[in-house]
Amino acid sequence: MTGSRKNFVEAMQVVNGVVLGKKLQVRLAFTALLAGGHLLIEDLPGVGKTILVQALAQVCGLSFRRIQFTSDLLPADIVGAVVFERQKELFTFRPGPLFAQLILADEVNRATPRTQSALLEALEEHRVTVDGQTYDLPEPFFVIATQNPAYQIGTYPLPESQLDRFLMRLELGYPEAEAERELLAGGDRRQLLDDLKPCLNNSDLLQCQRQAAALHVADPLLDYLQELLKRSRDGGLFQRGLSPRAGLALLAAARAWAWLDGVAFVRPEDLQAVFFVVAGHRLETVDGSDSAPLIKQLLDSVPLS
Amino acid sequence: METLTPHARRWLMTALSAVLLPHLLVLPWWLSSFVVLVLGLGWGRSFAGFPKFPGFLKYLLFFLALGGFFVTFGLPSGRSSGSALLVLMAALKPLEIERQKNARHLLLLSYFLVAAYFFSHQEIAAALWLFFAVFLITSALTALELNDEPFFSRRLLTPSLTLLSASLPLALILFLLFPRLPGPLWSFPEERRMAVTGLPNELEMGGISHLVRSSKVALRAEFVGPVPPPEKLYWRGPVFPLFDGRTWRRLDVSPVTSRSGLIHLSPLQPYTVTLEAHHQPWLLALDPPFSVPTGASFSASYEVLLDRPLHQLHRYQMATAEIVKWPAEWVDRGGWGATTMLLSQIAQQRNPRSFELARSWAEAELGDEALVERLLNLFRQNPFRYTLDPPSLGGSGPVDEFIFQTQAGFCEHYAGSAAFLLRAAGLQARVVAGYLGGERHPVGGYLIVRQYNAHAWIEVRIKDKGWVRIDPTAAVAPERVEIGIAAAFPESDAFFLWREGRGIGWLRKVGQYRDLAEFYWNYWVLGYGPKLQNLFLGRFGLGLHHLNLWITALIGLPFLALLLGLGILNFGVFEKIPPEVKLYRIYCRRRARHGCRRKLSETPTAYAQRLAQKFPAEMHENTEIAVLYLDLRYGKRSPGDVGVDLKRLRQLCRR
Repeated sequence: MTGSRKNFVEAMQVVNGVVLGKKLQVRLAFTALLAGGHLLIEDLPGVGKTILVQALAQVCGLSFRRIQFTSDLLPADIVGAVVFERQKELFTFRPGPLFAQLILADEVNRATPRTQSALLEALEEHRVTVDGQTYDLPEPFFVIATQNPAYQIGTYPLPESQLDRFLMRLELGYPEAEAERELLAGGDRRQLLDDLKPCLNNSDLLQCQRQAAALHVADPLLDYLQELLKRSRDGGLFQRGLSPRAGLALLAAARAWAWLDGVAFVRPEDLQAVFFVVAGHRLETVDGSDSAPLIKQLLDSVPLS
Repeated sequence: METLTPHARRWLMTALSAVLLPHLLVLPWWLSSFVVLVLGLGWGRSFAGFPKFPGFLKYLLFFLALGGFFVTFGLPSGRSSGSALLVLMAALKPLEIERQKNARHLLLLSYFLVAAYFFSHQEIAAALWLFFAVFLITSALTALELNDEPFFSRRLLTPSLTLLSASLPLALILFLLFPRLPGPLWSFPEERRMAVTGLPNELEMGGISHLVRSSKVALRAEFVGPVPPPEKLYWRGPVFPLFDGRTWRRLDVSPVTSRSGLIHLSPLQPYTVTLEAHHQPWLLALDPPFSVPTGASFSASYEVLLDRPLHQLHRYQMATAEIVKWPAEWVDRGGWGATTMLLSQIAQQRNPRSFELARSWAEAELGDEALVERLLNLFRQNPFRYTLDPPSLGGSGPVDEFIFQTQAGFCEHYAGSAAFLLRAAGLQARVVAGYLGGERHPVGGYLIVRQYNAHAWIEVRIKDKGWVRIDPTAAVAPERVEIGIAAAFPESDAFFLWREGRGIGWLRKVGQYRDLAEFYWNYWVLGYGPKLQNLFLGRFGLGLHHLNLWITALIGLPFLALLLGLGILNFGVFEKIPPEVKLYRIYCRRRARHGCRRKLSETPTAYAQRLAQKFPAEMHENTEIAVLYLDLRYGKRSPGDVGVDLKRLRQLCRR
């Protein structure tokens, strides 16, 4: 086990100690971070989204900003603006909250499409452009956006084309009884968070990302992936199939997932493990129902050898 | 549109030259030389520095070829003129080919040219050449695709060898199983035939002796019992009742349908004849014939006739008996009628001296048999000679000329004159042509009758006996009848010495084995018709009487082949399966038999875990297999370091 991977796994365990009973979701969140993709968490308030994100930022030693999206939020509010400094008598760029390594974009569907676009553009490009001037965002750059599915009045659900920019979509769900009991019996979560020590520094994280991206992928696995993509397109299960970008996302996520296991190559189970969360928000059923059963059907129908 | 490289052009010319070579032997000599010249030009073009042919030259050659063709053949009709035209144009084509595409077309046409030669020539040698030519054409096609390959390279020759050998079993299956039709599917237009060796349709003095120069096989015969002695081997062919003083002709009599009254008074002797194509309707049969094969019938003059000329090798079964009684009606008709009488008068006017001689015999009022004896004595008592080189009979009365002047002739001289004399004496007589004798193959046991066995004799109608065979040649040269043609010419002709290989033992042996090979080729390959196929398939219980089966197979097989082809395209039946996958499949099949089947998309790890729950005892084994398999299939491996793990996996999976 390389030193950086050991630290990374340790960081994951620390987060598991704070966010109780959500091992899979924690691992997926770390997978997304490792694959250099962004995360969309869709769930009810109060299930621990913020705790998860804050813990993640803390243990990974990332600078953290939280942006609460509202309907009157403007692009300049997140990106930053050029202001005139009277003393120096020149215009300077004052960076917005986006200039941090880990962003929690809370309730992103409450902002207007215009503001959403500004965020998503930054997501894709890893830089912002203000007044014709381009500013690079810090590395690593990781956005976790949350959506609240319960209150749909006065919201602007993210269009599909923008959903595609998130590597994966997670649902946290209610904790299991045992974990909830521990939560209730335990101390203050805030206090716990403040006590967390970073397990990684930025260069460790970047190195982990590089290692994961270099993991070996054999031809048979690519065959399998291509067959999955093909079935999603011509199987008639979904309105439209997975895009090539989705294919790349699946591969990156599978690599990160496999790297966390410390194996030297990507196995089919790695691909299957990330398939639901990576493909879930990119596939829409024909009748608008939940896509999960159909995705399972898709996975089951493609033979693996 | 890629241009043809010199290398590919050389291959094209090689294949084309090989394809055209046997055609050259068949074409008239000047057309052959033209083709050779044009091919030479084509070869020249394949070497660097040779200029492109100017257009006018191409036109000149084209019109020369076309003109020559029309002069020789007229309008193209029939096989030989058709393939000659094709040969000429194929030879010219390379002169204007500059592109790969056109070369490909020419090569594809070459396949047809190979087949076209087979229409008319079906010997073993032709078949061997066919394989070679097809191999060269296929190699040339490969050479077109691989531009820079050296002339003889493995990459170039292997595909054509593979293709050819892969297609052989299919060809064999089609040959053996495809239903045979009794006749050709389509009939080629009749055509003028050049230099066909065989018994003539009309007999003139000197019409048979030229056959004796040919050692071509006329027929082969297999006997159930021992081969009859040479003096009984009269192979009866065409019968000539009409004589105009110069030429004996056949009478076109309609076949006799009723055979009632035809009985044999001695045991039947069955035999099988394989007759070479002679482009005439008659079949050869031992005298007297008793039965007719299917598709043939007796004529009133007792010929065995097919309903069409024989253009292919034909195999048929016959029977003979020493004494056969003919129906009275046949004896009466026998090719005797008003035409015969009328022509006889002309003949008599043309040969007055012989006629007078015969009349003098008739006036003596002898019996029929005594008259015949008188005739034979004429040949015996006068200095008649039996010779291969009789003086030509130029006058208008060849019988007079022969009897009274030259007194030297071959069998048809004796037969023709004898028949004429007997007619003049008031008897009914006709000339019969055929073969006499034959040689027994020491290994094959069958009888070979060659063209030099050709013979002619007569049949005379004798009171109370019907038509009786008389051989006037026997009166002059009895050894011809009793021993064979070579015995009749002991010192005169080196031809027979050479032909029969006397004194050169090994040459004789080689000749014998060649004939044996030809015999089996004729029997099994060329003679593979409906009958033989039925016999062959019958051994496997698949006779042609299973008509439904055949129809089903004929419709079903192409359909099946189509499905199979589509299947191969779709599912990659011939996809190369890596060894670890094969082993893992074996493993999965075995576990499935124990009631735990791997799901379609189940990963090896998940399957191993499921198995571990069901068979906790084998947990380690299953886990090891999953780990090994995943590593071999999805891991980063160089081909060199899989051996040990693969071996281990094999051990585990086969257990």
